[in-house]
Amino acid sequence: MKKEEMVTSLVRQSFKAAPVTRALFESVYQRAGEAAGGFCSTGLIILTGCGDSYCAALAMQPAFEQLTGCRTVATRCINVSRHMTPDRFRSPEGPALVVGISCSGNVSRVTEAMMRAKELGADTLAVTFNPESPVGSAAGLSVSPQFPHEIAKLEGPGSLSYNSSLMGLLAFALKLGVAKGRVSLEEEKAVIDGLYQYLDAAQAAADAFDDRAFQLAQSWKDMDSFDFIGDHSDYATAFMGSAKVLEATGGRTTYDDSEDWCHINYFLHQPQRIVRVVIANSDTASFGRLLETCRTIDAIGSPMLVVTDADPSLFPKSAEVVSMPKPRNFWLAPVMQHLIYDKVIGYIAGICGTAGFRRDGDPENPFLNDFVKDQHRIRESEIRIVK
Amino acid sequence: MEKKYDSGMLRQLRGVVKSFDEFFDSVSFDYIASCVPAEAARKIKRVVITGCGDSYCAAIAARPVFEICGGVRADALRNIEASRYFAAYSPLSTEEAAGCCAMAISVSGMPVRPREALQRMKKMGCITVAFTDNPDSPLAGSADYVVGMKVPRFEMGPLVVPYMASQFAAMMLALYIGTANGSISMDEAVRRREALKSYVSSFTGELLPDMESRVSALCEGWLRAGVNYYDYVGDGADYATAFFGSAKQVESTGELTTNDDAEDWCHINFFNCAPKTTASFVVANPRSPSFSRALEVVRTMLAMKRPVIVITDGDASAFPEGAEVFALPKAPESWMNPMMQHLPMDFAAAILGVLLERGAYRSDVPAQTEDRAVQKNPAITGRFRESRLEIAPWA
Repeated sequence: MKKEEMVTSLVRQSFKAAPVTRALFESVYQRAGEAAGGFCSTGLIILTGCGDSYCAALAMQPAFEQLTGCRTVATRCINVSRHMTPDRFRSPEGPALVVGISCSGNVSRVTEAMMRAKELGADTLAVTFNPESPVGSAAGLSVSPQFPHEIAKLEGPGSLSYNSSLMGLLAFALKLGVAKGRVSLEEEKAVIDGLYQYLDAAQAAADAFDDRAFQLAQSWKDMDSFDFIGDHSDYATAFMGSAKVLEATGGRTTYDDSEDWCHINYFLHQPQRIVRVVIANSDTASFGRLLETCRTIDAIGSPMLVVTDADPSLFPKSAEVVSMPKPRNFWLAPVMQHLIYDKVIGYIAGICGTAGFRRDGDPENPFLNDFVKDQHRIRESEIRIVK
Repeated sequence: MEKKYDSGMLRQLRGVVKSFDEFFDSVSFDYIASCVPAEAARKIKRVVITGCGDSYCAAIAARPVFEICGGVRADALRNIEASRYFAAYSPLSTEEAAGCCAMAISVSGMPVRPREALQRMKKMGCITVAFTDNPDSPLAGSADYVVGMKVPRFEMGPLVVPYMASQFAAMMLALYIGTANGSISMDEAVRRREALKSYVSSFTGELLPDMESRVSALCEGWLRAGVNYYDYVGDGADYATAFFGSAKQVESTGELTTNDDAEDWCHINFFNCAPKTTASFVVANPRSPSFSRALEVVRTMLAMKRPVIVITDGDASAFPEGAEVFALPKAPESWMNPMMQHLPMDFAAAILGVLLERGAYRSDVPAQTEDRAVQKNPAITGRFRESRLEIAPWA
């Protein structure tokens, strides 16, 4: 079996993550500054999106708080568009800024969230490739990262569209921090330099892991399920991993934080057949808890993959520990740490011959094929504005 | 009606209404006033409520009641978020902290994380409240005020009544806070309390035996069809119901589960490649602002040929043919739904536990019960009671 023949879109995208992510950031940074200038008095920011975009919101929430000084909430899109009470769209400083994330800009729920937020008096901003899209139009103002021309059309499943959302969010947060006087020009440069350095260093680490990822994929392709664990912004990385398993292979998966895992998923049957993927970074406040959870996973005999910027010797010997560089700002870790499991999952998809996004369809179920093809379920969902 | 299966969990479920009556009277408004004086309750402007596992589900379920009836903003946080990351970057002012009440739920009061959250937030200047059945517990010792839950005792096994008791205690505190700050009158609070009791009491007669019988037949069919994955969907406070049902399945059978909201399901869990062997529960109440979306999800799941179970307080005719609809009594107010709507999911977890012949909590695995090294390994036995307590910094 040749590794090169098992490369799928997830793996392919992992090879170019650093240069593409840098290009995405550079494509949007100036425009983000123009958008940010109008929100200097904002006191509350609400980040939302669906699927990968919701993960991006979770990942960047701490960055927003640290850079802008604004209380920032990352919440599920259905909450913004249907369940949050109107008073949640305001703060003592005035209207909240609701940021809707959708790469395509065609997702009904995000469009609905933008429309409802506006209706309730909030400010709105879209992070999307296409400012003319329904999401972009509903928001009225967009921050739009653009892929480099040579990979303008990305096939999926993949993670670079997630990175585009992260870069759009980061660009806006940094520019808003500068506009509000919270981030000095010196610090701005340091954050950007730190981002670029991290991208390159993390790409190198991920590239070095590629052969091992293929070996692990061969070992783990017949495991029962993948269980992802992470806290805070690394919960986003864990959540993304689970999503990629489903998108790329349709396989069995779950995810949780390091505490709740000990109360619930700990009890999953046949732990020796469940691969546990733990995102455990040293600068996070729950690193100690993550280490404890790793020891428990070791004790119950699950194969474990740890993605970390910490000393590998801190983890149980049974764990497959992948060392990633430590970013200058901890909230940059989600930008690149997903490459590690992207490769494993991507190679599993290649070895098993799965097409991703259920494109291989179901011969017994033509309805499924239609659902997959036209994405009706997310692009034509009924929009209702709940007041 | 003859009971086809039996277990500790099933016996618990059959008696939920009686159990509710047992703790209902013990958590009266007079009792709560003795736990949390009115002048303290009046200071509360914001609630942050947390817990682990079932207790986190109870926090999600009770959260809206603090806003609807209590007149205070409320957030339900994962325990690790509350204890390590809350206010880590955006500081609370002295005034904000003084008006913020951190609430932690734990029936036993023994896990470290809930008391860690209270201790940290107390140091920030917040008011702290513990919900527990153990007044001598470390959790109780970490709080300014303790609301005891008086939970009936059960045989070892996945627990359902403590979840209900936890929700109930938190909801009653929410009502009480509302009376203290003038958001609602005491008459209104009493009326709502009685309405909740009335709602629970409506699950009598043949309702639960019928539910058990239907779920038994479903479970038998699922196992014949090879179902081995369970997916739970709910929005808003109904997400608590979905999450709880998912947790009970894991505890009872160790089967893999996922839970999500109706929108995100369409972006992620939709791609599961084995729809016919993924039993899917959807909580879909017509009064929910996202009912239309839940209905779309049911249609999509059915088109994919998933076995679909709908839990609703609406009419079964609102749902497409092919869904197995449990049309449950309609609560006087929708915030009461999480108190009872988990029951079909609980029955499924309990009956599958019997059919699969697995002990709950993976107790059928020899290594868990016979290996003395495993028994004494604190990484297993102390995984949440002996976790290291750390007070993380805040802004």
